[in-house]
Amino acid sequence: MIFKTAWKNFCRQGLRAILNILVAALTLVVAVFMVSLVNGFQDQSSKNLKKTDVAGGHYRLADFDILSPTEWEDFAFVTPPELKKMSADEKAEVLVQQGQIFPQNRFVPAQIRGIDLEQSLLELPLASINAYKGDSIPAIVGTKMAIKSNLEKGDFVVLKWRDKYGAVDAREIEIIETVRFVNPRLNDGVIWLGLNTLRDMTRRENESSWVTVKSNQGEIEGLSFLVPNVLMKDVIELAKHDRRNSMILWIILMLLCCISVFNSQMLNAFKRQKEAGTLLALGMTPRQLTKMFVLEGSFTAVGAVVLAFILGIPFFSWFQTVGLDISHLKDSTIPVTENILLVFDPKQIVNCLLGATLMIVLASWLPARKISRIDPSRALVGKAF
Amino acid sequence: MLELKSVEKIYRVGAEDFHALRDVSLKVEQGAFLAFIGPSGSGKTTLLNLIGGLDRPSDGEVILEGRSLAELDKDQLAELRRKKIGFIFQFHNLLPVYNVYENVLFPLLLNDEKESDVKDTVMKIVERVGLGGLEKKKPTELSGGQCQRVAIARALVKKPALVLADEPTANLDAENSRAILELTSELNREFGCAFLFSTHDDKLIQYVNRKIKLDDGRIVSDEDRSNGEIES
Repeated sequence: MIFKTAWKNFCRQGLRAILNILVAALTLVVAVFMVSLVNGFQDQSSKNLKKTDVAGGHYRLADFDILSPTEWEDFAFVTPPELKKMSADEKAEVLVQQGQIFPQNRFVPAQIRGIDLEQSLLELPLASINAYKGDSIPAIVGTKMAIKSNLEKGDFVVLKWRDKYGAVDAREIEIIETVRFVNPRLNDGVIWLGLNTLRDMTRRENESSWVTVKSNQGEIEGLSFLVPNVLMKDVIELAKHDRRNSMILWIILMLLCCISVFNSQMLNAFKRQKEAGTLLALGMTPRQLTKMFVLEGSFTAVGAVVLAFILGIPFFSWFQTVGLDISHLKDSTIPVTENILLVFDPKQIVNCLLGATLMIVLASWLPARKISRIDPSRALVGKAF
Repeated sequence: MLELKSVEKIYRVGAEDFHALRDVSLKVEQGAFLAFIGPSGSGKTTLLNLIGGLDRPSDGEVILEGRSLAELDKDQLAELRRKKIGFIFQFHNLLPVYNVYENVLFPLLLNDEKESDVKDTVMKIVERVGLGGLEKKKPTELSGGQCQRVAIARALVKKPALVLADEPTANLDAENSRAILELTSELNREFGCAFLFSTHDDKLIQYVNRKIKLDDGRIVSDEDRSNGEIES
């Protein structure tokens, strides 16, 4: 009986109810969109990082820090046999050293990165190094590095480095390709060489700065294993930050929506005080009256969830066919170059829907509680508030 | 059945106290057909609200069927109204979302009755108040007189001990007022419940068997048609 009365009263609100539902539904769609977009960003950037650099983790010396170039030379190690014996699709040995290039008489510091060219664990566009037939040292740079250093395919440039014993050496290298790496860490500031070439140049036989592996090989003496989440910490932090921002925006939207529901309920309470007084006179308890008004507000939440599905499913289906174009961010440090697609997490969606429903119910409960405390004799003459 | 002992009601209006009722005492027997008469502001509505448990007296006691209303909490008062008291209001106060049948059914559903068990009862009383065939009409589709008939049916459907009607004819024309009074008078006899209503229309007094005149919150006369007049 209370349910039926609440439903009929809710329907009687007409346009006001429809607008409340629409606002709440759009808020839900936007919330799910934002959260799923951040998921999509994290998912795609993680995939890209894993594909090009991180894979299943790195074996390194404990104190190696990619952000301290002056220490790279001190943290190279001879690849241990446990890792050496792994197949080319399970590991990639990498050696990094600092160096400088002198394009057009300018000085540009660079990370010289040598990678095993036979490896197939990481997807890197370096095959042309293997195919090089010239007399120089073949090198590849990322497009951002090329622009910064004013280098083009076919250019020769002097590269200076220091070998294991501290001797400084320099040779001309040929830029055989400039390629776009989806991973910005690889696209800027890196000169790619074959691993053996770099080992020869630096007289570091069998040495690596880290070994990328497909999966954890267990403890290896002298080395630390860094899991992907540690290696992708910056991206995960960025996504976390974005998720927090999304959450703030969602809360603001939800508050606006709840204010709208609250206003409607307050207006209801004010306009329908005679009706409330009548219901109390007929013998409805204050608790039943509260329940009836809260139910009316709850129908907004239920309607919003239903409408969010009706609006959201076609919208999200369409969006997945186009994705979010972020080509304007190609020079940023975001490790994604392709359009971002949404990644839905059922748990997040359920939490989002439950959160919205609870907030709307709360927004309708507050005025309902007020109306249940009215003096029925004054409500009957419309003077309860 | 109903007894009021030295009932006072004081409202705080700004910084001043307004005495709506002063030292009102009376007894009402089962089956009474009683009118409170008096000018606007004389305390008629306040008195009905106190009897119906919609408001509490500032002093004194209202006793219904041996129970003092002062001892009852909000939920118990709601139960009392649900089971023992029927209300008829000046502007009928029907639930706008419900049709005639549903409005009359509503108090029974509040009493946890099943619709299937009481459908006939509802239809009979709707027929009895002269609204047969209009069961599906919404209040907005009815005249003022018809709405008041629905309100009467709604008040009586649960067979209450007491029906309180606050100016039930004030919003009706003379013909409808007379018809409503005749109907309530007949139903009073049929159902045997006490009818207490307030009015300021002297022409309607002919239907009652007891009239209590109020002025400035006091009972100034209590006339029992069968027993003569008692001045107070």
